[in-house]
Amino acid sequence: MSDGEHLQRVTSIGAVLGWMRGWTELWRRFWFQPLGAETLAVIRICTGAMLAYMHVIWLSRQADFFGPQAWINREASQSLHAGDWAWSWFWYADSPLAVYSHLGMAILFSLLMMVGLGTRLVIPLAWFLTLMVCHRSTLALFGLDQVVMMLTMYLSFARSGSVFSLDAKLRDRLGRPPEDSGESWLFPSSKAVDTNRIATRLIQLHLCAIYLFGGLSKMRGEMWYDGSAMWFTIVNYEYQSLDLTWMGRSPLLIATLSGMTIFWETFYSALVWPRLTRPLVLAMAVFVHGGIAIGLGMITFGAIMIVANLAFIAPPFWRRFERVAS
Amino acid sequence: MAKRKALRSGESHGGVQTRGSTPSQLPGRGAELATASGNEIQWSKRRWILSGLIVFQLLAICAGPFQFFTRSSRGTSPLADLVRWPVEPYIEFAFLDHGYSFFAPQPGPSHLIDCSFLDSNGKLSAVRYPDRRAQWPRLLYHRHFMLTENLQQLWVEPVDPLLLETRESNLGEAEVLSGWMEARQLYEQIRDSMAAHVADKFEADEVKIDRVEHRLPTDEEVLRKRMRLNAREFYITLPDSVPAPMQTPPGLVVPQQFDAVPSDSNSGIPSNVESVAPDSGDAP
Repeated sequence: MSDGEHLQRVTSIGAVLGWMRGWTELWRRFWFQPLGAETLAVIRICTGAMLAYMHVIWLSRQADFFGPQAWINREASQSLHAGDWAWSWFWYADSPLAVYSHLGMAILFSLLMMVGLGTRLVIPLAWFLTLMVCHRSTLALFGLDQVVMMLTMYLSFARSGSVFSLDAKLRDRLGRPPEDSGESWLFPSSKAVDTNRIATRLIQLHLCAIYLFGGLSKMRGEMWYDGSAMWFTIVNYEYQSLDLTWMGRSPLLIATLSGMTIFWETFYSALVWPRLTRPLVLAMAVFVHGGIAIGLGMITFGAIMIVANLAFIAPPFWRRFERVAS
Repeated sequence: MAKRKALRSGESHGGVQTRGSTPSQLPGRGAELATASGNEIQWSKRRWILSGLIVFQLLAICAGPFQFFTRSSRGTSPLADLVRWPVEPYIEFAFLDHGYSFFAPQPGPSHLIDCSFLDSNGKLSAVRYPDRRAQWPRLLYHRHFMLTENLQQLWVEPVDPLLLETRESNLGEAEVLSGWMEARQLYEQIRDSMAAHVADKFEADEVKIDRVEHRLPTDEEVLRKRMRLNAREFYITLPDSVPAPMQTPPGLVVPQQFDAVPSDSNSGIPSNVESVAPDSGDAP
């Protein structure tokens, strides 16, 4: 091998290594750059409240959904999951005591999650207790359950309780615990850490996947193309909570809203990242989900989708908000 | 093993042991450098593990909706099946196995159920679910709505016993029939569970459940003819056996044809049947 060939090979290897280093650095910055917990704390408060509300509703009709004579009895619930990996201890217990205990604890942990007390423990526990409910009541679930579970899962390993929480107040009162101590783990400091970044990124990317597949699935339906989808959404009596049929007098308005919805949903995953388009995409999210909440009677689902979209708001915004509020 | 233990020990003390000395043996500045270096090694290992977990989670996020998206009458894409395979146990257990196809491919009709039964006085009564006046707050109503919608999703036409006798000799068709029967059995199990629930609630001996479709009205019907969204014309009681060529496995004779039966009243319940409030059987 001549010196020229050797030099060329070394240069090529160096270029490849440089390219790989560049990608590694991008990966590091995207996933591991430390981040404050303010945004996650706001999501935690809202998600905890929603979880508690969901369990209160389950509790109000525990016999209808979990009892021996439930809509879907234990045997039927198991048959729905025959051959898959879902599992719930409700398949083996339907006594009122067991159900009340489970749902009571779920409400308690959800409320603690909301106020931020013992968040390191109560968030994973709230997630697990809700998971058991989801596998038992599969046929009664909808998008709300999917999004609440997604948010709770990612909050489980972040330090969302380090700010805007009773944990933070306790930590400040007790004084700074030594690093790597159990107390430090239980009442984490509010400094920016990479686990907050990872949780935030996973919420953001999960949301992108939800919108992308939602948009792609709509592309199979002709109503979203001919502009009539919005009409057939607002005249669905079982969903309707606000009479919007007057909009049908303007086919152009109906078609525009249909087109905007499918465009926004499909391209959300691309347009939410640039700073130039992010505010527009998030404003559209509030508009669409606010419309679902008010017009289609799914207040809970619309609200939790708006909460999930908060993941794209940077922590400094909430610090400024806190300063202004206080 | 000993090496791994030593490495772990090195991590917890800044990796100083790997250099053959202890922090106390090193001069001040040197100890700081050694500790920093050890932390970097530890950090790097942690980051590799976290990166692996992140990639796994990203796969889990996409596997469910990707497979759902590729569904057709011929099944799912082998590529989607392959993507899903390594994460399947995880996504099924962790409740990540969703299609996220809200109002997709397009808005469709709603599905409800009519439950008819002889009450304790021997009178024929009927109740419809969901009922947004009876189930409150809205989340409770929506839970009931999902139950009836999902019952419709599970519905499969009953298998004609004659088909089983005449087609058993053909192995391929026997497999299709077997799958068909399993799907039908699941539907019947869910329907019967719902019927037992209503029977218990209203202290009835037997309850019959009919699926009802509420078709979506056109703009002409609503704006020009001024029909109400819940006008009786929009409700159709679906028969259990329906001419559904698309849902009939290939090679099988379509069973007897039936027409969908329009409901007789605004509530979809025949006029000789007393309509009762859905939750009137509840304890106060």
